[in-house]
Amino acid sequence: MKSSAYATKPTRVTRWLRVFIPWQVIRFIVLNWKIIQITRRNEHLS
Amino acid sequence: MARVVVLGAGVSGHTAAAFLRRWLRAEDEVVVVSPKPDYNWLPSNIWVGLGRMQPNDVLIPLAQIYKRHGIIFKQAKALSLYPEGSDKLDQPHVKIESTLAEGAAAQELLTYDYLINATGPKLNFAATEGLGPSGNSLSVCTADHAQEAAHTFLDHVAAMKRGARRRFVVGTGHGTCTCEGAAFEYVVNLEFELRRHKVREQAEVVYLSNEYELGDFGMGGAHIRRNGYITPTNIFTESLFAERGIEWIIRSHVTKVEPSRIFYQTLSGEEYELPFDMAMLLPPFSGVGLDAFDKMGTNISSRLFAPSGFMRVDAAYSAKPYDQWKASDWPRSYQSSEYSNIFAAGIAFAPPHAISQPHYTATGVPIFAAPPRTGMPSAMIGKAVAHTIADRIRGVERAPHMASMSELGAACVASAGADLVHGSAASMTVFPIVQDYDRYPEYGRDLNFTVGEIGLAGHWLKLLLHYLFMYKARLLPGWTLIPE
Ligand SMILES: Cc1cc2nc3c(=O)[nH]c(=O)nc-3n(C[C@H](O)[C@H](O)[C@H](O)COP(=O)(O)OP(=O)(O)OC[C@H]3O[C@@H](n4cnc5c(N)ncnc54)[C@H](O)[C@@H]3O)c2cc1C
Repeated sequence: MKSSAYATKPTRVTRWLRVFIPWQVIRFIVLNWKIIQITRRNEHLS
Repeated sequence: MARVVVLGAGVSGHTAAAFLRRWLRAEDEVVVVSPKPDYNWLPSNIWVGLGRMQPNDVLIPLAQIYKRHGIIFKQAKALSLYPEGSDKLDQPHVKIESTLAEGAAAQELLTYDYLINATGPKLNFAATEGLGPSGNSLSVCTADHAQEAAHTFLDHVAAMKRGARRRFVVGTGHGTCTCEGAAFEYVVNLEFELRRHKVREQAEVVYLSNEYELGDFGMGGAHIRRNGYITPTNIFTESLFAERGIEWIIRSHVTKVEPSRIFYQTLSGEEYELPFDMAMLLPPFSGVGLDAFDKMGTNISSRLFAPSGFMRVDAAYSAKPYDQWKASDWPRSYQSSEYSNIFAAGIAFAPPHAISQPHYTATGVPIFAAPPRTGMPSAMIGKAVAHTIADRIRGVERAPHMASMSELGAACVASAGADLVHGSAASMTVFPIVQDYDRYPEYGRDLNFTVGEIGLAGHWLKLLLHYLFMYKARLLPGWTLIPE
């Protein structure tokens, strides 16, 4: 069984940013934009 | 008048039927055959499996929706195909058997001009002794299975609140499983729920998988740009597990599940036992076991279907070594290799080979993740197939519509905790799904569209997708505006 010893772990700032609402609103917009781009490329194919 | 029969009302079949009804003439018939009365939005089964949603939140009764939209619905399961007709009927037809309580087991021969096989997978629990809800482990592959998993989970939580310790094992129940993304999603949600119930200290959480590396997900992993590095997804996944204290066992093939003990073998050939209190192990998938017969009644199943039971389509199936695999091996139109009026969409088509590199033990036991066919490509394939059929019926002369997994991208949002303020999810996009080393020589994918990140935004996205896709599946006004 493997566990944490050699794995990369997030810093406290990274963990805080993951639930910091203003930053997450921006990430939400960015992720949506990426997904829309992918669906556009997919649609273009068919 | 033409009749299109769609077998299966999952992501792929339901999408195909809805678009066919929209694109075909009023006099054409669209018939959906599916054994269950409901559509199941499978990605949210994860939340049902931990008691955060109820089966009703992920199931949509189909009969009313289809009636409203002029789609004929037969609650039945397909048994066998007669693509050339039979001694009973000249036209191509399919034999179906009712699953309605009142007409149970009544059989019917249903003729078609075009047939879409979108029957998804058979959950092959029988591949491993003791695997599955009728054995000694749990599953979240259907809403019922997920509800049973939730009851067991909540019973353990109650015991832990009284001071008991528990070991939870989540992963794959066989060396050839696919859908590791769902197991990953369940384990991180389970860990989140243990913290929410304030019993995390008393729990050991173990992820047990057939993947060669964590984060393989059956697509050979992916590379993403992060903080000035190009990072493989195993680093991303290990990091998430390490942060949450989830232990992991990879390269494993479960050989038997006893009431509180898992037996597994690793790629290096060693055999182990793992005691557990609750185990959610996904089954391997196979085709649903349709048979096919020619006009003379000769069984031609092996011509239409691969040994896995999935349908052969326009893919390059000739066996070749891993280093010769090409993106172009993957099917584009999903037309049966034998009959031009039969198509297979979603999980029902036979992939030409795996996406991840195959690995075998010294005695030849395969231990590697089979190729996933997630929601987005399954829906895109259903739509492309519907488009091709609609063109042919309306006499539009153009090439078939394409939806190759080596040209399609996919987004997958794996919930890692259901909470509007403290929740999170691992959001991943890959483009294309199957690596194309001719187009993207270094990593096989376009890194501008292959991303992965963890955060609350992902949870919002997952929740948004749940409501959007439930709305779309109900075919409510504007459903076509919601992308696949
Ligand atoms: C727990 C879980 C979580 C998942 N999470 C995600 C996720 O987060 N994101 C994502 O993109 N994908 C996810 N997936 C994968 C996704 O659900 C599948 O890619 C998708 O459902 C495949 O669609 P399909 O139509 O091919 O098959 P299915 O959705 O399985 O549909 C098959 C249909 O065929 C019917 N059928 C079966 N046998 C017969 C028969 N003999 N005759 C007629 N009909 C038959 C079934 O009843 C069903 O209606 C998840 C899967 C699971 C199991």
